[in-house]
Amino acid sequence: MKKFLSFPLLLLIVFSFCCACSCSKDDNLIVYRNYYDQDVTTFNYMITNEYQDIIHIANFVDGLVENDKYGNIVPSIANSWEDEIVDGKQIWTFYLKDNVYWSDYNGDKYALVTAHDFVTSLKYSLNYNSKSNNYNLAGSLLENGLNYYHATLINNFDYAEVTSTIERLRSEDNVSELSYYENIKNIFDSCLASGQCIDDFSIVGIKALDDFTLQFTLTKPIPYFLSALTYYSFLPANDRFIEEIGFNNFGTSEKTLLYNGAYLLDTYSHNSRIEYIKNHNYWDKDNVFIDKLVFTKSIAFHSAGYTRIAYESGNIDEFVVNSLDEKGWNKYVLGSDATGDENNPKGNNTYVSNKVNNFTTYYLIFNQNRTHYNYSILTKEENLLANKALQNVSFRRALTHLLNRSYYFNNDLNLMISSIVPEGFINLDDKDYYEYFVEEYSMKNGISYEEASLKFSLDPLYEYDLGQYYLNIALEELNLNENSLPIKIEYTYYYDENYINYDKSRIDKWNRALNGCNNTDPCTYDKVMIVYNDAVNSINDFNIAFMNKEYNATIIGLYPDYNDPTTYLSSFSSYGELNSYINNNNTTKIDSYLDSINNHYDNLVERYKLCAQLEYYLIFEQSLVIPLALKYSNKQIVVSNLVPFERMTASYGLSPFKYKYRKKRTKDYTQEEIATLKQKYIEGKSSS
Amino acid sequence: MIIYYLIVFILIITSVIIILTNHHIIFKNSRIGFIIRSKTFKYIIKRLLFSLFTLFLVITAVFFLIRIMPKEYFYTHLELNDNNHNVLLDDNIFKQLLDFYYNILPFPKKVCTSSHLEDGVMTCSTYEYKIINLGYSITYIKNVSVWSIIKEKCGTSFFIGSISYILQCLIGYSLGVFIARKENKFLDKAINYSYLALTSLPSVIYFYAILLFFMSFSNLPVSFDIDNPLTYIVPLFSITLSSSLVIAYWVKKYLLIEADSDYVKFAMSKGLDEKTIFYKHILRNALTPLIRTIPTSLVLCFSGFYLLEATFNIPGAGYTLVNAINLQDVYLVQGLIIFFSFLSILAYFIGDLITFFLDKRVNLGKERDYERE
Repeated sequence: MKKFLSFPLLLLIVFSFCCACSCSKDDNLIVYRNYYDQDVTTFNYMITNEYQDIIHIANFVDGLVENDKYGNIVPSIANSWEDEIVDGKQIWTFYLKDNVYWSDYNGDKYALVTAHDFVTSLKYSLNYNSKSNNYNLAGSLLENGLNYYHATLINNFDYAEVTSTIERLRSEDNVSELSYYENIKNIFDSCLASGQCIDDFSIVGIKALDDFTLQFTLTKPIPYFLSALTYYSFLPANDRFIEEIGFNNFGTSEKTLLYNGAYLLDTYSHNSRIEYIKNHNYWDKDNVFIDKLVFTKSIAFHSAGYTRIAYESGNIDEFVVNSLDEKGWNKYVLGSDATGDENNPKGNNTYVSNKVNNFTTYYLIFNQNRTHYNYSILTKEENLLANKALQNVSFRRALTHLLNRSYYFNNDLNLMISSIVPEGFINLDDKDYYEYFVEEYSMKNGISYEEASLKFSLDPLYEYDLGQYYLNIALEELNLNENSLPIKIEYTYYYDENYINYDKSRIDKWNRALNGCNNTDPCTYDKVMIVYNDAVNSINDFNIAFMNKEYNATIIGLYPDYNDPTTYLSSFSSYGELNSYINNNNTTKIDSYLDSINNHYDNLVERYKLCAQLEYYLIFEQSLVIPLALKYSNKQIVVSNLVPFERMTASYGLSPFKYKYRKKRTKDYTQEEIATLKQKYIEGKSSS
Repeated sequence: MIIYYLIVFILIITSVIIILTNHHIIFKNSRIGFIIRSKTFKYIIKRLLFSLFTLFLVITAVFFLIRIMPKEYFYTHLELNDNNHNVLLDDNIFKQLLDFYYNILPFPKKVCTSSHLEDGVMTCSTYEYKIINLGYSITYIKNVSVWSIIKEKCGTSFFIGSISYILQCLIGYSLGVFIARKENKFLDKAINYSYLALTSLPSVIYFYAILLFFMSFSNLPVSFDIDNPLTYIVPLFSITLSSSLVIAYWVKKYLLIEADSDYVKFAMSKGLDEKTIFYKHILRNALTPLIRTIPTSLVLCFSGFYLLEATFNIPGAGYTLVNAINLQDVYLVQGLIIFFSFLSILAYFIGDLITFFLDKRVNLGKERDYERE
């Protein structure tokens, strides 16, 4: 019998597990559960700019303003505000609530939230010594913000040493380190030239006039400043607390964080679980309906229906229907009678929601002045010819109209965009900025708005005949002899090994269109030829090649920094970020457009109209860029245990991540009820 | 601090005593002198010193291997203001090495534990004394000390690892003994085939198969959560199943080999009954080489099992190491590898000692010494 002793022992262990779990149940708390994908790197909002950190911080710390259910900007810690313009500078004054408290992780009151806390937070994030990754937004908006940052940066370097390092690296041909030091040298040079980099925080445009009055000074009037204040760059931090625990320890665990938001961080177990608990000192606690939130790490490898199964078995409260999960798609989208589609799902508690805050957009760009040829399969002459061709406007227009972008998508054109500023990014009085752009297009082309919007719902760029027409003009203008044809455009891009084949096959199709062949016949490329850059065959190669602008054509992504079309458009200006990848010399008109846009800070309709004009100019007249796709679809089908439409809405800032206002439903919502709620929401929105 | 100096003092005193005893100056005829002068004791000291030397080599190798990585690798992933830049890439590599040794060598050193801005410059406000300073994580969990991450992650790994190891031993050994008694029966064959199948199957596929099985045929949560013991079942099951089969297979193998040896035939001819021979003679001899792996395996549980942890989302040490390498968290990688190598050196040291004490056939001295005695 001895040998069977181990089995009862085993049983004992298993039973003791089961007992332990059945004994620990939460009582009477309203709990929301969900999965999370990526781990938090830090809760220190003064240094981080990682998405996975910010979505949690939004629930712990409140800023000056936030968005309400309808997307309007409403007071949060600020009670009221006013702005005036003095000597061309805009001065915003905020009057703060005097009853907002910081709580520590036990939920005990720590101190009042005062205007000084907002100053403290920027003191850290705008200082190079605190190693912040979160200085850019506040730095560029506030007067002298970046000047102060650069002053603290150059204090850490020696100019002579930086110059000698650059020379050494040049001789070693060490490109990646070189760009790092060149960047520092540029900052040195511009600081020495302007003389405005002063190592004194009092020059920065933020001041606490008294405990509850805060003043911002902006270099130029900015209409979207209130929306910028909903970002994590403008959250407060308590000076005394930081001194007590040390800045390097701030936000590393639940104990080293102060809270003035709707929730406290209850448990933080890295790579495993994050729990929030309701903050009982919260200034607006009547609008917080969920007592506890539990986020568990989702497993890395799983089937398409993984979240649906977890939802149905009650492990999580919300999931996004995956189109690859056939069972879930049939149940929640098509419905029992198979009449639903992705815009009108049929399942209970299922609704379409705007996916928030990811408007990363990809463009196909052309380098007009390539100077490096280390990673190239073309000769130098061929590259120079490509530069010459790409500097020609007609040639670029031909490419815009002949390169069919639909080859990038497997029949799923949802992600394709035809504008620089994506649809849904920003709206004014219920009119999407995108509509201004379509209006501009209809006006310039002399067609009605309906026709234009129909064209935009398909593909307004791909026009074969127009493209061939421009190509012939371009070839005439360039006046090349027979031997130098075809013009070879090198396409440099690397995503992974499998992607190369996709890229090559679509380049093949493009080449056929460029040279006037259909898709089946054999074709000789005698006019223009796009060449895939085989010299780049790893992600590391691509990074280096990309940094040196070693491409004639490539794909680049832009991420918006603030809630205004200029966040995309200004990067085409002479000093803009994207322009350094395009090397366009002809920027005078773009710059003057941007100047006049910036002058229209108080009349938003005019401002957006001007933006639309500039956008039309960039895409259709100059063809500097071909819009490709949004990184993620901005619509998703959600099945949820929460009441639909009861949440903060915004396409920017921290508000979309907040769980304030969100309620757990007590009954099932059918599609009819959801439609009524939606109608009610739309009515409420128009009256708000 | 005082405790630390006390330990160092005791170490010095002991080494002086050992030297004096070996030269027959003190403890001339006493029992303690005999023990210290014995070959076992000398062997242990020698083995300990060799272990320390190996650790030193490992630490140096880890240091250089991480810095051999192409620098582009860092620059493409770092922003202008990332703090690892200066430390890793600017300083002279030998200065870095000396700093590294200084931080690793176990003696108390002043380390800044909290700092804040004063007049625009980071100033340290609190210092603490630390014996070993492994630094702070830079990308994995920013600014958290590497040692606290190691403690937390290795704790979880050990928790799961040790439970599963105990289960494996209980099931594996009893199963092995059971099938050795009933050779060529159905269970024996089943275990033979499944052992072959499991060892030839890549572990990834095995784990995913288990994962898929539980996800489609049961409601058991598969994602590990330390506070919910229900989530332990699937990962424990998957690792215990495969490993206990392996143990059972080898236990059976050793038992059958021993059963063929001469002393068994002698015992049989003496007329001892089969049961006594099996449990008293064969089992004891056969299990010695297996039993000595138990403490080693238990110590190695600290370093975790990457695939198990990655599949079932266990926040353990193996998974952390792979993540840290992906995120280029140099200090965390350094710390983890040093800790792992320390553990394995320790584990094999313990394993050797246990073999020596359990198995009388093992002799530590050289042949020459043996003859002289």
